[in-house]
Amino acid sequence: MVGTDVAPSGTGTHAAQLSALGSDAGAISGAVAGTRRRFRHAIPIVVAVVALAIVGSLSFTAAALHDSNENRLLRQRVNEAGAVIAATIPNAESPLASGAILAEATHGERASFTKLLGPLSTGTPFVSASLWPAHAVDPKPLIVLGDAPELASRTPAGIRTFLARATVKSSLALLDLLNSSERRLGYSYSVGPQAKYVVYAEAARPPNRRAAVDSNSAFSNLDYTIYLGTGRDPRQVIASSSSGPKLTGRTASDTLPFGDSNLLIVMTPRGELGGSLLARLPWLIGGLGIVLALAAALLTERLVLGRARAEELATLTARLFSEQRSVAQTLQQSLLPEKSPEVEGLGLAVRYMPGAAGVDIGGDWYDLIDVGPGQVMLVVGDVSGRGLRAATVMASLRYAIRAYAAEGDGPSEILIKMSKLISVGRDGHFATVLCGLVDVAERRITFANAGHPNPLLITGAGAEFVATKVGVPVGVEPGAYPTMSVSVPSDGVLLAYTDGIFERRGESPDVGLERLRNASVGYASLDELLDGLLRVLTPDGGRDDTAILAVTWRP
Amino acid sequence: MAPVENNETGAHGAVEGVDDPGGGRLVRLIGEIDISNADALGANLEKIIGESCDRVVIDLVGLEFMDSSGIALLLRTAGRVDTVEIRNPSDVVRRIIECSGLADVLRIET
Repeated sequence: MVGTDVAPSGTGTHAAQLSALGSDAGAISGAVAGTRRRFRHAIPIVVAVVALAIVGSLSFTAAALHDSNENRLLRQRVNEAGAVIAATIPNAESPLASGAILAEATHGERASFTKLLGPLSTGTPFVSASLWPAHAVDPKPLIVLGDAPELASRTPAGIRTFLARATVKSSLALLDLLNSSERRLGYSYSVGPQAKYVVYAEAARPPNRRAAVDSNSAFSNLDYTIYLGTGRDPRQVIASSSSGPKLTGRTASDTLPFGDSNLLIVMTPRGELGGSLLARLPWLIGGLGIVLALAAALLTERLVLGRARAEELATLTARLFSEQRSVAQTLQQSLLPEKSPEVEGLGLAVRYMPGAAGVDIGGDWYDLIDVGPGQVMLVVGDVSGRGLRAATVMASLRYAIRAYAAEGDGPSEILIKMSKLISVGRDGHFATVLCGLVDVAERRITFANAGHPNPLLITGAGAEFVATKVGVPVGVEPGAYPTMSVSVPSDGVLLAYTDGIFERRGESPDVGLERLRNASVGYASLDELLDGLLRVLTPDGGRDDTAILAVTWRP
Repeated sequence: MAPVENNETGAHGAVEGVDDPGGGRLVRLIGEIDISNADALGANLEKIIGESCDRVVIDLVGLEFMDSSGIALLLRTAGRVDTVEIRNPSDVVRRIIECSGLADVLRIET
């Protein structure tokens, strides 16, 4: 931070730094990219997996819903079918019941029996009707209407057993003749255990056991198979709407009592009972979901890629900024005097502190030029704005001042010539400059001021600002810069500075200057004074650049 | 009094121009001006002022902060027209103008 401590850096060094910067940045970018690339695909894959898992579970749920809905509908239809079939059972039972009662009442009279059951034994519902004795040892039919009963071809013991079943109670008994040559079902009925007669009838079943379903019936979207009994025995199929007797796939069944046996109704849907949309829903969800999941994964990949690129860029930019700042700082400090001139009888101290704000360097500078025996030109200046351009303007002004001072120009002439060098309209910058010609022998300093904060004179009696005649800053318009001289007592210190030491954002310069004035007293040496001021007034390093310079007399 | 131009920049500064009843242009600088937005605001200011204008009043009533870049912006404007008047500067801006020897260049309207 001490100007005189700054090591000089030649142009060659800067060029080397700049070219090295390029390859470094590339290496960093590559390293970051390598790290990122490993994770670049992981996040999109996780997104895809999670999305697909969600899609899968949604599909599965939809399929399960569809399945349970279909099962529920099918069960409803089977129950409905069972109810319809149960309603038709009395069609077979009631004529036989009537015949049984009639036979008991008429003691098996042929004429009335024939009159009752004859019309029902010509194919529909029966192919054969007959009357049998209830308790004969070798039972033979007493009356036969229609075809000869298949029952008659059985053994006497078999016939006895069957007829006994009919007399257990007053209900329909079923004889399974499905596997006989005629494929019939036998029904018998009696009035009960006291019965003398048993009425018997046989109904024919279709030879192929097929029964079409009416296309406009309530069950047209279902296939069914009706079994005798409770098991799905293919030999016991009474009727089926399907070619194969065994129904496969989704089935539901209902058992209903039929005489002293049971009917088993098994149904399967031909299509979707709940409509095709519900059936396709799992596939729709699956298909759309997979597309969306892949889109999400792709989008995530792009976002991850974009973020990785942005981070690479940010790292690179930060690196470039810090490099640029260090290059600019080196440049600026190389523009400041390497060491103060040695003048007999004059004590000098300087400090320069770059501001902490941002990357841009400021345009502050100071200079001490030996202009002859016992004379030193002190200069403190501040170019408006920040950055390399401001530093460049500062450099041109500094060297111009050195040239004019070497030619013997006084502070006023120097500032007049300076004001023609730059223009705020053309260069975008103006500068405040304080020039003071120090005369060691006379112990006087003659100032000209182009818009710069007034210097401070510190004596044993306190600190007071020197009321220089403040002209317009250089670069604004051609101005006049009248001089004023101040006598500095033997114990006095003259302090010149840039606004970084006192200026605070949003605060009147008067307040900051007063703070500086109060802080300037009570130091034993120039170095202690400058270090103390920087420590007290810019404790956080200061936002702005600060140049500060102090002169005093030495015996 | 419709704004001609209103440009928000990094430091949240803006410039808007309105017709001045006294002829010339009235320009308002609003918000903050520092190095980050001074160039952009300056370009807008030049657009508002235009080519043929000899009197500009710059109203700083809405200005919260201005650093030396802002002073440079005012000075550039002053260099392009015959008369520039500063209206409603804060005490801070007034003192910066006075302390910097700019009172004759950037005249503060009384």
